[in-house]
Amino acid sequence: MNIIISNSANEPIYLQIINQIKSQILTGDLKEGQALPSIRSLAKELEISVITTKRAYDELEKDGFIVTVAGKGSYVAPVNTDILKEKKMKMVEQKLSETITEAKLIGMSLEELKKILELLYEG
Amino acid sequence: MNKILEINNVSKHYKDFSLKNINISLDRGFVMGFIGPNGAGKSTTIRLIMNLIKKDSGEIKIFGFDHIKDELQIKEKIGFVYDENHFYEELTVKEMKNIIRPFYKNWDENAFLTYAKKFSLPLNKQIKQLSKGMKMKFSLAIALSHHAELLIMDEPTSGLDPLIRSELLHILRSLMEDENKAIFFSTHITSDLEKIADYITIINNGEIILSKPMDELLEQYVIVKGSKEFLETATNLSFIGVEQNKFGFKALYNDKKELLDRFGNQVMIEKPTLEDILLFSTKGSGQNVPSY
Amino acid sequence: MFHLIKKDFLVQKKSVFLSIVFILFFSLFFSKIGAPGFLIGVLGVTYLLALGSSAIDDKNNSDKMLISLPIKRNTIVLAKYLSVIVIAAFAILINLLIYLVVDILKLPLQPIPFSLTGMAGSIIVSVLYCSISFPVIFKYGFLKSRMINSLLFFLLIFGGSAWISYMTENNPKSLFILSSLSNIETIFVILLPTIFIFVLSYLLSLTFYKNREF
Repeated sequence: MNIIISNSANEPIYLQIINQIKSQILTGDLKEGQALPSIRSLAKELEISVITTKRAYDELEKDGFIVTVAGKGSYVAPVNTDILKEKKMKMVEQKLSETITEAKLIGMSLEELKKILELLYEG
Repeated sequence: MNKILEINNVSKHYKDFSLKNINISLDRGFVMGFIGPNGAGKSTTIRLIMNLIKKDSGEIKIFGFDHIKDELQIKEKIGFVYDENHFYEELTVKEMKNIIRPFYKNWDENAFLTYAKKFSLPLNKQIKQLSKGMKMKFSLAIALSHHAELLIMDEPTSGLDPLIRSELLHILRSLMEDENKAIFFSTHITSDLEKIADYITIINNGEIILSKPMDELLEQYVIVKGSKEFLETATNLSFIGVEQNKFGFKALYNDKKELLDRFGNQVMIEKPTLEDILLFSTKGSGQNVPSY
Repeated sequence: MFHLIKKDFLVQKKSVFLSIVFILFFSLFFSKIGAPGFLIGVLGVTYLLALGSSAIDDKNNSDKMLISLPIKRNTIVLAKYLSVIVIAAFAILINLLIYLVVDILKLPLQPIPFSLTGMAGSIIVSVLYCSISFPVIFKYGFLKSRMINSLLFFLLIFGGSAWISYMTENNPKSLFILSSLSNIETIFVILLPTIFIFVLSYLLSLTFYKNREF
């Protein structure tokens, strides 16, 4: 598991942790039931406050991504990644349809839109 | 009760300086950074906690016990590191350790030897021959060898080079993997705290001006920059430590969200460092110029 | 307690050695003065070591460290007082050793004779000296009370030895009162008032020390 924190980024550190753990769960890098480092050892390794890591874990637990067993530690929750992925796909679909509406407004063709998409996707 | 240190309404008056109504509270498992300019009252507060000086009023509780009534019992579980050496310079490291050792019921000789080795303490050298960093490490080794639960440190990093400072911070970090311990750490080098503190308490002129989780502090507070015209119209905003120049102003503000929502397009907002927060919030306190 | 007294000796190894040399010198070369010489030797060593340890405490500001340890303030003060007795006993022992060595080896030297008077007198004077100077030290610290304590020391040295000489010359009997009294009477005459003053001084020092701020 990799977590890379930027102190100068505008995004608060706890959010950086949340997003990185979430994405590793979604991509399957972190598997269901896998143990996460303890709040304290994560804080120690990242050189950040215990409060920060605790807040990140609390939020992750609230969102159902991890479960914390008192006295034992935190684990990746048995989330159904398929459902999560489906949700995310729906979101992507919705956003794309919004984009298409906008594109149609200024009369863009499908080809043009595809080109832009390709360009953006490749980065 | 998870409070490891509670200071309630403590005051102490001197002829030329007073600590006024100090309130501090620290839970087990956390590190509190205690910052302020020189002469703000950091050492006085620590001396009060350690009962080296008498308070005029108020209450200090450590591990839930009164710090005077249960003094000995409390001190069994306190580790202290002071800014200066108070050990006998004439003794060797080993001799000094052997004098201190019998006073702690929970002394752990193996722990001491482990730390001595880890810190490369020269056991047979006289304390006066040790470098400042080495003396601090010796204090720390003593503090860690009786399984102290609360570490009280008064400017432990002052006068140390960055390498040794970061080494010290690393040791303290490892210590905090034990959630029963806590550290109360005074310093005027704020960058040390950004890597370790959970809570920040700022003292200025004998008064606590804020005590908050560090995250909250760094998230809520912002450095605002804007035009002088804006400063003139925004009289209802209480900026902290306003700095003006010919072309604009710079100040600290304690509510990022409010500022963004209301004036996001009129001012520039930057993330502050702990040092910014300290400097702006203790500005205008007269003779107390922080020394860096 | 024991460790605090041990510390008083450990921190001034040089002075301990110096005091042995001092007694040796005094015992061998000032034997003509007799009992007063004995007193000066013992008091000198007490002054050197008992006040020396306070000086070192002061220099290192080590009270701050001691009080931060789980040690009662009573213990710190009491240890200082007990170490006076240990130091005086140490000085007397050295005197005794010199005397015995010279005597047994039949060396052509004349050490100060070892007398009960000298011993009792020197202990009394040492204890009295510390009874006066310790409260001052515990109230103001060593540095601030240094002048008073040196003054007192020389006053006692000259006053004390003059007194003993006077007693020996003019009223030799009075010195033998001690040996003519029974043991119990000796204890009453010498020890009780001294102990009383010593304890009083300890309580005074303790009050000062408890209220002192570091």
